[in-house]
Amino acid sequence: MSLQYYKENILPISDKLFRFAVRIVGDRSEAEDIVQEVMIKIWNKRKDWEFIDNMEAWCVKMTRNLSIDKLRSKHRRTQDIDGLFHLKDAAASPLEKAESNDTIQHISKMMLELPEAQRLVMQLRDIEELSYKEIMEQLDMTMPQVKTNLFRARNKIKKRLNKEGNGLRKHSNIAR
Amino acid sequence: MAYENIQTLLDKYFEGSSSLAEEKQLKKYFQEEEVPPEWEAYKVLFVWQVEEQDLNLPTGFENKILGQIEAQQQVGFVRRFLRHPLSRAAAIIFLMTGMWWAYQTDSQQIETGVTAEINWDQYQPKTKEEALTITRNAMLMLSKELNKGTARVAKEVVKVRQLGRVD
Repeated sequence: MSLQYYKENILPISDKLFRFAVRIVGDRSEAEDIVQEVMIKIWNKRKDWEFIDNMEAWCVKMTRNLSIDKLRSKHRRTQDIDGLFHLKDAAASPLEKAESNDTIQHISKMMLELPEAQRLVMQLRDIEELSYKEIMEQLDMTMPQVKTNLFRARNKIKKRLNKEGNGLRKHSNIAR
Repeated sequence: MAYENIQTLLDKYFEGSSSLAEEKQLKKYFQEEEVPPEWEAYKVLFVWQVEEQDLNLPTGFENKILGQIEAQQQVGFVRRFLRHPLSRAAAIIFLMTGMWWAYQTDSQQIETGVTAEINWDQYQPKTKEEALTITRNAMLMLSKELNKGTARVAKEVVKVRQLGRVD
């Protein structure tokens, strides 16, 4: 019975958990390991399932906690994951900017530089296409917190894109 | 789609006041059409969002998880069984009985021996090598018997000689 429930309701959200973990740790292989560990943990806690109101939110929280633990234990990032947004590319050359701007991967890097709360709210809204209410439940936030984080995240990305876009235009004008 | 409409949606998006349906419209617009230069930078963002939606775990991941769960369940059964003292005692008795039975069977086999009588008059060797081995063994037995006869005769001769010396 519980295995059937697991197959029908929990395994199908593993891709979503994977994308969520990638957004936190920034590495696909590590995110896969995290999701694998989460999926086994969820199975081992099957006795608690009947007390859980929102299974998906519970799985997302577990993935989030494990991803953050892994990230902290490895000291991967020099910047505190709860820290403030910081523009790293001040020293980047115009050529580097041009190369990175051409790739979609560059947006992933921008996302990783956002504070954790902003990054995760934007992930759940823009990629997973969840409602504000669902984001509230999955991230344990209030509605104003969700909206504020989303606003800040999108605006930081916008400023960054505009800045790099203008830089590129100026660079191409000089080249002409 | 009208320029003004997209601009309005973009403004709402960056203010954080757009609906999911409006955000989908933006994604669709930036996927399909060439955009004015002032929106080029945003195109990358919306294209990235759609590409990220296709980011999935490698195929076979679900089977891997189910395999691990199955293995865990088998180990779990043995652990659960051995958790109770009575189960442990039963397991030990079962093991010891098995070992005793195996020992008994072995010793009985050694005592009785696993032999079969062969009627050599009717036995037909199956290969040349087997025929050669049988013949060689038969010759050895014959020579042993003959040696026994020779030894007896020699003994008798010695006895007769001893009798002659006494006389």
